[in-house]
Amino acid sequence: MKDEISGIARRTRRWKFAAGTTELMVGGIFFWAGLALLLPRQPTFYLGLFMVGIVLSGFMIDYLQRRYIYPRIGYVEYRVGPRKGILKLLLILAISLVSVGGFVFLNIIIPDILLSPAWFTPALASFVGIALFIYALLVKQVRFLLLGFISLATGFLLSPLILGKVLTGDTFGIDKLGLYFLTMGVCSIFSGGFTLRNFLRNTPLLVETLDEL
Amino acid sequence: MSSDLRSLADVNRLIHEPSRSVILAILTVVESADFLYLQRETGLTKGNLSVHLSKLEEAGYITIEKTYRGKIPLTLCRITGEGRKAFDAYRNQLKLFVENTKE
Repeated sequence: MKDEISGIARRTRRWKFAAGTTELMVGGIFFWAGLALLLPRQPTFYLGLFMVGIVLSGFMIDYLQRRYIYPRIGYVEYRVGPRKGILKLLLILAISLVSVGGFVFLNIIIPDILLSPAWFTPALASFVGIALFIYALLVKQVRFLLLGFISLATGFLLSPLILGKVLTGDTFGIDKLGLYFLTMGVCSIFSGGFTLRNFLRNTPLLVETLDEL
Repeated sequence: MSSDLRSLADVNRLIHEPSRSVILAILTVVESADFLYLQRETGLTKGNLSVHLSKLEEAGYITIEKTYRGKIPLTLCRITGEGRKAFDAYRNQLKLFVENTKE
């Protein structure tokens, strides 16, 4: 017999990605990492900027949650069952295997790719893109598919096949990595921002109701 | 009346109340949820929800913790092991009953 419990569970979990805070948080990390890599090269400076950026993003997300999200849906902490934990582990293993396999395959097609820093950013972008595709399918959120596509497209554009050749003379590809992080950060923040705007429009504050006698 | 059908008479009356079964159903899929969240999901009034939560807490099926997140007070509810067991048994009893009364 199919009961309503799975339906209740599904409805309960619908809030998990409703407010877009996941993208805002991840976008914040990407954005500050990208900015730190693109600004003048002093390790202490960009490490400091990155740390300050992460703390600021954390405060902002916390403020958004307290000010706008909890008063609308309340506070909920989601449960991760042991089965889901194993599934996540298998998923990470699968993505890693696909990435390493793909990388080795590319190395056969284009020799010395593993030694070439020019391919680091495209490889990372492909890895993130594939991970986002799989995650989007698992949590059934189309906007993560779009982010995955942006990651793959950015990686392709920054590869030596397209813009990578002319974009920078930087030996270690730091500029390209910074540009990739910044692009992903801005896109994630936009995605999270639009989602949050829709959430605030469609989810009114819980009004006080009179108790029944 | 067969024993399978009679089993419905022995169903846990505390959980059998619709509001309380919905509260337990929600709490089984989350780690914890606050009062406002449960109020939104169940559609109950504050007073009603409060009464049902107290009954479930008295039975040892849930725990209620008063805490803060930042400056915001939270009334966090969690299902206990006993509550989970009782809810699973209740669901099984209902399933059995429905299966045995199919035409």
